[in-house]
Amino acid sequence: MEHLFDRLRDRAAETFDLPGDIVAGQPRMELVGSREFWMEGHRGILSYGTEEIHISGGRLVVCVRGTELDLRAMNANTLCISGNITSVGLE
Amino acid sequence: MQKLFNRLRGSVTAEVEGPFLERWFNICAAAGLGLWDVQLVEEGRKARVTFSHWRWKEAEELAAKAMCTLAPAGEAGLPSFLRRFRFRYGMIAGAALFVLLLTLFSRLIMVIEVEGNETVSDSAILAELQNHGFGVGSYGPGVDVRDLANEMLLDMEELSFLTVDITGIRARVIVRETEPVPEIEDDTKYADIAAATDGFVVDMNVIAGRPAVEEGQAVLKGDVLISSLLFNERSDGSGEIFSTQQVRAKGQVWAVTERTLAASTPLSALRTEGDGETRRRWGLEFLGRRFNFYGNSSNYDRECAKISILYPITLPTGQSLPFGLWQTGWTAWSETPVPVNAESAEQFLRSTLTRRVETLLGDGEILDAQWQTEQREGVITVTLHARCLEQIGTTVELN
Repeated sequence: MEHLFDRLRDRAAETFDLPGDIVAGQPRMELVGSREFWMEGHRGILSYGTEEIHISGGRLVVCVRGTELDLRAMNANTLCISGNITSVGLE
Repeated sequence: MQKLFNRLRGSVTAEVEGPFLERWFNICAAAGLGLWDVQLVEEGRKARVTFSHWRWKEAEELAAKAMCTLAPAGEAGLPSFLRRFRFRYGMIAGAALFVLLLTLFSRLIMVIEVEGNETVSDSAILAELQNHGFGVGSYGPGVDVRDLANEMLLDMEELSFLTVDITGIRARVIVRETEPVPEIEDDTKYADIAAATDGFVVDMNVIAGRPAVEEGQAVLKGDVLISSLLFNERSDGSGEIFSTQQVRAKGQVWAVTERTLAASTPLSALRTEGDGETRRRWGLEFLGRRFNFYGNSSNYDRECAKISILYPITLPTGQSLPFGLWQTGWTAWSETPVPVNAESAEQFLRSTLTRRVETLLGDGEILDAQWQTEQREGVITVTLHARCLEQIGTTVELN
């Protein structure tokens, strides 16, 4: 049932051309060069390491890879990862 | 700004250790406990994190929930800076004393300014205020300005208005002086103008009344010069007086008078000489009170001159503060009889007599002066015989 509402919200955001992060509560990610990664609307860290960090984004998992990764800041909604980021993937 | 805010609220760096570090991160974030500078110390087991100083206890509880342990590794910011001084009791006491003194002194009157006075001196007003318990060092909020003003106005008839404006350590005493009431002559009382001294009348200016003497006439002290009694004659030229009228005589009568005054002084005097023996002591001036650093100030086995000098602490603007140092010096002295120069003594006596005559004459003047000097038994006497022009009429009220 919950998935149904999520899909409906996604579809509504697409149909009416509305920002998905606001309407559908989807996470919003921002990569500043290769040194800084910002994510709003995260659901928590799944795994944490200096070369790979997995972050929950609800229905998807974001995987940040690189070297010397650090969780620079984190609160209930936003987190920031710094380090040498080589890739950001969705799983 | 955020950095400054973090500095003020303080931050703590802790090492969190446990099998589920990510869980601790997540529940901290969910609880609104922001984390920053997260660095892994040991892959998957131990990390170093920074968070707000005041949420340490909450972080510890959350760590227990996530089966982790939390150990402090450092702290920064204002709270930790202040905590360094918690066992420095002397410093804390000093700071507390400083704040206390600052609070107290900022309420004490340090400077009193008097405004609006012209004839009454500042020192007279300040002395009267001091008599009523208001002066430098008084506690400003404790002054009842209305009572003080009322008491001052009762005691100082020269003042018609007084108020005290206290701003911090400064008190402005604003006064208005009483306007002198002009002397009003009571025209309902009859009076003659009589001679105050012997003389030859040279000029008369009669405003009211009847001239009783003529110019060129000699008069004695007490003679009526202008009479209050007027005679009304018939207008037919018969010279018959048909009625009399009494008025208050007014006018001026100028006459040539003779005045003789004498003054004398001894031809030897006692000269006071210090013999070089001086003793100095110090004291402290504090809020109008004097604290001496010595005792037995009046016990000195010889006669001596005592001179106290206050060295106040002065601001660069020139304003003196109610703090300073008193220097009191006692210089022993002795008296030696010395001769007085006769010429100097005569000049001194002549000038003294001249001033006395001028005071007696008022608007009059000395026409001619003859001096006579005599020395007898160590005393010089100067006598002045002066011929003067002066107003001799004085009002004598009639019963």
